[in-house]
Amino acid sequence: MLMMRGLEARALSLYKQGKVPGSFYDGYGQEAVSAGAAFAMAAEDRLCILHRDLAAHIVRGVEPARILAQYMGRASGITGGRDGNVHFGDRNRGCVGMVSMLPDMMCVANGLALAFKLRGQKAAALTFCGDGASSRGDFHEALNWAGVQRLGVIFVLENNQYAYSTPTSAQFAVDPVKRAETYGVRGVSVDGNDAEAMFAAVHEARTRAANGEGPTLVEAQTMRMHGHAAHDDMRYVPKELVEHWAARDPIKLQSKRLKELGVDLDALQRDVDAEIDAASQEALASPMPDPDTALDGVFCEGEATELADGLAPWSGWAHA
Amino acid sequence: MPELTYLQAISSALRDELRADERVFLLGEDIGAFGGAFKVTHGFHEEFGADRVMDTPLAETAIIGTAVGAAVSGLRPVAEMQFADFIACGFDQLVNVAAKMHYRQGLAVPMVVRLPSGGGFSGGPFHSQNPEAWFMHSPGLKVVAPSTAEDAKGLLHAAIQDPNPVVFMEHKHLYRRVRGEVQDGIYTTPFKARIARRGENLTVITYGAMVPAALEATAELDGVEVLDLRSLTPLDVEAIVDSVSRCSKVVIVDEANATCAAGAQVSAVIAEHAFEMLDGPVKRIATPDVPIPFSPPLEAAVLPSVTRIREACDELLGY
Repeated sequence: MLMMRGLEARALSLYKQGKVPGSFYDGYGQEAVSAGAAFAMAAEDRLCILHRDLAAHIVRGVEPARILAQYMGRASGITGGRDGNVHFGDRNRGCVGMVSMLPDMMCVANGLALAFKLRGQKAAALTFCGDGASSRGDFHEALNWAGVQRLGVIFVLENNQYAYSTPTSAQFAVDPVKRAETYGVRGVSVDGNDAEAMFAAVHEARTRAANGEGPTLVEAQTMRMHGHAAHDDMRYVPKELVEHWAARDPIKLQSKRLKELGVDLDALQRDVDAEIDAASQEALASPMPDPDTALDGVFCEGEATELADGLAPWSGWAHA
Repeated sequence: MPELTYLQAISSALRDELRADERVFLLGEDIGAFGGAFKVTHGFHEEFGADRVMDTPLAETAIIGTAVGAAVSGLRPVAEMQFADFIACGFDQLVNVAAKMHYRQGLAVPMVVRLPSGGGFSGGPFHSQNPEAWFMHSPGLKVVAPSTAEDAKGLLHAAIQDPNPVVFMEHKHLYRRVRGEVQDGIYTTPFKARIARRGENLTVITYGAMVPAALEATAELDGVEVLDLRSLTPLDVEAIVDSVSRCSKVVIVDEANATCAAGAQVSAVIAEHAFEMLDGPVKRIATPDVPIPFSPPLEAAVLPSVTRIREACDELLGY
């Protein structure tokens, strides 16, 4: 969570210096959602990670220098400059990169889970989605399909209260958890600012998924604390709402717990900062992509590339 | 060699791939126990089971998206749209997720989407379309369109074995009308054009159901070549330029709507690469820019016919 917040702060700073082209999106205040969820997944599981979920990439083992290079459109970024910001998935870490149409990956995650089912593998697929995405057809087709085929898939719905400027009250009349249940998908709602609650909910969903007990939608209640993107001052969000959630910052909450366990948080922060400094230097030294390669890779030539396994820092899944 | 219909050749390719490669599975609406709307998968359910000949919910977006997820996992999904027209409902997953995946992420998406396409039997505006040009305009997708039973099987084998998403246009009007000798077992047909009939006075460049129409229309004309493109992406520029260079006069036929059709691209290729080889204007025959009407006289009025192709060739030969 500290790495996500630090990397995004550094990337925002690089954006303001003109070193990050295009726009800039972050997940400030939502770090517990992706960190907690990703820690609950095994190395052989598959993930589709969205644009406010940087911690999940970090948990899977994507190196900070490659992430910063990705923001800056450098050759050493995960997509080599072919796609921007957090539009990436490191296939060598078992991740499929997102597209801008946000519920699309729900259908893809079903396919990942279907592959496990057809091969008889005890593993699970997870994708994130948002409150706004729940209005699109893909969301409903994916939930229905997952329910019908009892797929081992987990949909983490990040309810951060706003889809760009649209509040959830203008997005849906029926709660997403209830909607999931009507499709035969188990629905649970958790405090998305509590990393341990996220871990527990996804851990349970993952156990069920891998054991053939079907799909789960985990609604993570959280708040988008920054604008939709760097240009957005989110003046449409009531000040009191931001203040309410600011008091519930996920990093503050987890820090308090760790302090009680005797963890040296200052040392932890220093380590993270040092790693980000080093990553930043490495990324800034990395070349831009060669324009002569702009047409390369539209098609796969030769053997089809496949997904490989990611890291699973929480060893509990080693013998799952 | 056994003689198969175009439809039987497609079934044969699917059956052979399912038998040879355990990664291959089929998914679509009503393809399992029912055997498919056109019976392409008749009897498959019994031989391969419900997991490998998978009946899905009526959800085209989810069919394509699920196939993408299975493909990146190393399986070889072959998705069927019940009618090509319905791909509009799964368009986003195909052009945004599947097509761009390898360029963006270096991750291959080895999948096939079968699109039963085309008109000529009062299917009306939603069961008659030829949407191949949509996918030619979407980098990352390959698009093939067989016109014979032999190529239907060979191109489908090649499509399933290709590491990229391939849109397989199978023309419904050819399903039971076209038959021919087809090799047993697995063979692949390259994504290249073929000369359906060699000539030297004029070339008709076309694909799919317009190939037999062009052959019939020009059977009694002297020295008319028919070039069957077979693959629209990649487009066989070399074969087009070669044919135009030898024949000097060109008629291009699409069953699809005219604007930005595959034939429009062929015309542009000729203008760019073979302009000086021409002895007359490039003539195009295609369906005008209109939805495909239902009633037989209306439909016949818009779809390219043997007569229209014949007239265009006569006119150009006399130029």
